[in-house]
Amino acid sequence: MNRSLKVYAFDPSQGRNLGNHMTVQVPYETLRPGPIGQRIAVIDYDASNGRYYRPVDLDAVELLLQNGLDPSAVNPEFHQQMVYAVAWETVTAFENALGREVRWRFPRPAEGRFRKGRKETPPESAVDEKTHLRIFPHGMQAANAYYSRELGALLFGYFETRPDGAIDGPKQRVFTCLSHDIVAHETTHALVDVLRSHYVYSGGPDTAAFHEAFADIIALFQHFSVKEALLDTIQRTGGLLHRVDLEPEAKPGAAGPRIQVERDAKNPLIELARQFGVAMGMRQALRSALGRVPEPDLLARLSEPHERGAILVAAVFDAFFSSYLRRTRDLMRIARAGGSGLSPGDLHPDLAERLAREAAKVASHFLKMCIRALDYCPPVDITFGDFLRALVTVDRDLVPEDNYRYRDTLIEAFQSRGIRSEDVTSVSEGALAWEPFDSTSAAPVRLAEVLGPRYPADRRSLGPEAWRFLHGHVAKNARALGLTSGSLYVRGFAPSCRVEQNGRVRQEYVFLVHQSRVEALDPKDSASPPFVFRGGATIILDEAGRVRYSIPKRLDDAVRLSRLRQYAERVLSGWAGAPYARSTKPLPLEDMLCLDFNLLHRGY
Amino acid sequence: MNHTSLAPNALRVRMYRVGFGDCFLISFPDEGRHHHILVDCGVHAAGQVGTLGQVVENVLEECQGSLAVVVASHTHQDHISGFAEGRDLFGKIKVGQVWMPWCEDPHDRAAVRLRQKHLAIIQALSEHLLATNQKNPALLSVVQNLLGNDEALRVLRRGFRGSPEMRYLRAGERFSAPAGVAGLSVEVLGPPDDESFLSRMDLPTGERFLTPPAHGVADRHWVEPFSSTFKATRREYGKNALSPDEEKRMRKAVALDTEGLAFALDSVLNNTSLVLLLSFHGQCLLFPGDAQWGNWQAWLEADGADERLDRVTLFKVPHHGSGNATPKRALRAMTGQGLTALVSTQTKPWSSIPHVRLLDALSRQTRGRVARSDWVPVSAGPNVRRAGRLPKGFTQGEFWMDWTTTA
Repeated sequence: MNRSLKVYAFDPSQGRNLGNHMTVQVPYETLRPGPIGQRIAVIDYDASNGRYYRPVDLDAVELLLQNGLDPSAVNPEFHQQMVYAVAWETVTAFENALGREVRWRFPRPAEGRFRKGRKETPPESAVDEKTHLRIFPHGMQAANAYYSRELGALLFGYFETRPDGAIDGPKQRVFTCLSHDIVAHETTHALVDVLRSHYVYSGGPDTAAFHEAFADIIALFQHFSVKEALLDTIQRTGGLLHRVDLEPEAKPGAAGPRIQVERDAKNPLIELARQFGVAMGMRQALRSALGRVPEPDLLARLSEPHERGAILVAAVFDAFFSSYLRRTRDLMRIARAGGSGLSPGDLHPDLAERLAREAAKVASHFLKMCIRALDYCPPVDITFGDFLRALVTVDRDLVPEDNYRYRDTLIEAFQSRGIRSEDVTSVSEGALAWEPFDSTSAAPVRLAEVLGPRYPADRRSLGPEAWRFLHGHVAKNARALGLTSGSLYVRGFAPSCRVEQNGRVRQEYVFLVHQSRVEALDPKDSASPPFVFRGGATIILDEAGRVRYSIPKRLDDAVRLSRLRQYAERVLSGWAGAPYARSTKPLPLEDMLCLDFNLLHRGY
Repeated sequence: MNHTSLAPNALRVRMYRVGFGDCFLISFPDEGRHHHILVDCGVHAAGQVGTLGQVVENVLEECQGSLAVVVASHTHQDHISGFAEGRDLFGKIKVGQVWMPWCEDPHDRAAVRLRQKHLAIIQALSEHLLATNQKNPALLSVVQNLLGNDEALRVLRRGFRGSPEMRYLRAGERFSAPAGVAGLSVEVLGPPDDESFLSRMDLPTGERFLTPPAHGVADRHWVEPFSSTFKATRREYGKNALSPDEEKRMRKAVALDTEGLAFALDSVLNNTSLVLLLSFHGQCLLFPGDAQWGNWQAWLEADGADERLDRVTLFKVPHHGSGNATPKRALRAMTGQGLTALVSTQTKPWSSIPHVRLLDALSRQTRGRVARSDWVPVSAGPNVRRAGRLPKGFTQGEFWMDWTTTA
């Protein structure tokens, strides 16, 4: 059963254009005022003002009857409804793709350096800060929105500004929680963090860039479910969805006044967080990456996370658009053969409708593939090249025949943006997919020992004996699995249930192994700032407990270590506080290598 | 008083003891006359040693009322305050050209917008620090350095005799014999002006990002997001409200990181530094202002960086010898014979400057030809006693240190 809720498809600045007032369907759950559900709790506390805004009760009959409140920038109760709907929609997209529920495991304040022993929220509260992702739609007055693992929360800011950095002129109020893209982006950060907790530690320039790129990819693919915007864009590009600029709806005359419909516009499908971007005069990177001819050597020159991330986004979207065009070639040919015009604005409505359906289908395939690829990514130190390998592996499992040549397209798109995978001898599909594990080199995991007799009735969590067993098994087979000797930690065991193309159900299990050791920045100088070098493996088991893949990041990989050293050196030299840091203390290098989404989004 | 008298093709660089700041006078001989270039003139308010007035007098005397070029590497107090303090004397000096980074160009729209934004943030930040009565001396000093440079900028733009030509320079420019200095060729290495450099300089801010001051300072930026009918107290919000402890954590999480912001502003401004490579009859002087990594990076990773660095004979160490202003890789590439380094520095107001490891590395790279300005003793300041003799080529004056090349 689904609940329908009204939201902005883009943000308030779009008015009612392009289906901006849309309704999303999210799985139904009982909601307390907030809304507070099973895993998401919207709490409207404004920490800058030290006050609350009245919570909306979406289970009230009058709201249930009309799909929630109507979109409105001035009503905080609508804001609460929208963040809930978009966050829940994003979580659902992940769960559908991964084939399992995603559960938060935030550190309880009492478990950290805060007070010991008890739940921090009042006992009568329905919110548990460990298992709820808390969302503060008006958390602060700031031109920022971010995910905080410490708080187990998404914080959305609001601010007043003058558009496009103008010095004077009227002020505009911007609520980041009303931007569909920003909510999806931040929720994705939280989801990636729960699936790969060690991705907050930089292993090189790709780590932060991957977080940003991945969150943008998820937000962008959601645009393709906004049917009106999709149809309009198809019309105004003559079916060539990837065009950055849209033809004006009416051809402007040579002279005289120019009215609205005569102006050309930006493609809304590939533009992110428009209102915020205009207000802040930023986010140019993405548009320029998508609109530019790929330069293979550009990536090596970029180090800023958003600029670097834009390359990954551009590669994925290049592949997406190419696949869409390939899939719709026949439709276009039929249209042409029938004498129908294909120039912008002239498409037959039926053709536009069919093209939209194809585009939505390809978009949903790509979205699913990108999310599922996370399960096939290493546990630490993600690189763009790893992500490509994961994508190819997933897609091979999912669609063995590849009639539409998604994989070739992906590989080529990544290549042309200069994204390389390490340790790969060729760029063929076979070489890029992770190497299947040689199941004779390690014994299967006895799943009965791990899952216990109550499984699957109670799949909430594994007991301590199960973890011990798994740990023992991994330790015994460490070498074969690509791990080094020394201590290891087994984390995040999760089942995954997927329906294959042929209709069969595939049951798999995924878990992570973490390893680490401390290194000095300068190997010849033990007094230089220390940092942690991390490794491990992502292990995927089939339904019988046999290892299908072990995707390792080896701790004895000297190339990786020297890359991290180089990166750490760079981070340190870019740290603005360095000149004034007291020299008696070692520089907090490890803290600097740990991503802080607040700072990442603020840009310093 | 002896005026400069240099052998043909020799040159002299005078490093003044100003306290925590920079002031260099470079003198070039030209057929019996001399040309002079003044690079920066300023001291940090918290690092003064009371010599700045005398320094300006000495500049006037040395140059006999005429400077070919005045360089303001960037607009931090410790590099330009002297132009305000010595405005009367500077008004007597005829100046040929004034060089500043393009970021200060009043006709460059992007630069102006950025500057205004920075000034607004600096203003808000200092009001915030005042209102909240913070007692973090390192932080206060950083903010102080960003403030109150209007008068110095006025003097640089309009306060010299001879209506000098204003030149706003950017990376990639090259020219010779500027303002009649025969034999001198100049290459500008920084600041870069590409888009990504600009975006790095642009600290994202709404106007309103500071937490409200604790005791009712009127706040013109405050936003009231919703009409009062929606407001609720914790009690009114109901049982799912946060606990008082949680509210406190939240407030702490969203409070402005004043230190981070101040340091970021500081490094942004340092990175607008003009980086100049001055070549004169086989000598090659590198004056990088206070360039930090963002500025160095652009040209250090470009082609020909190593060849340029290899030619350097005199290195003005940026940012008073702080820990991260001289990239290791850059120093390593300065392998020229007879490389000499000048550090205008002082341990007050930051005990972390100059950075000990950097000084060691400089000493190794130059085989001991490093001179610090705080070796020249002054009554008011923290002085550092030199170990051993002055390195070759140096002579010590009343409140300066001279480095003279033999032709």
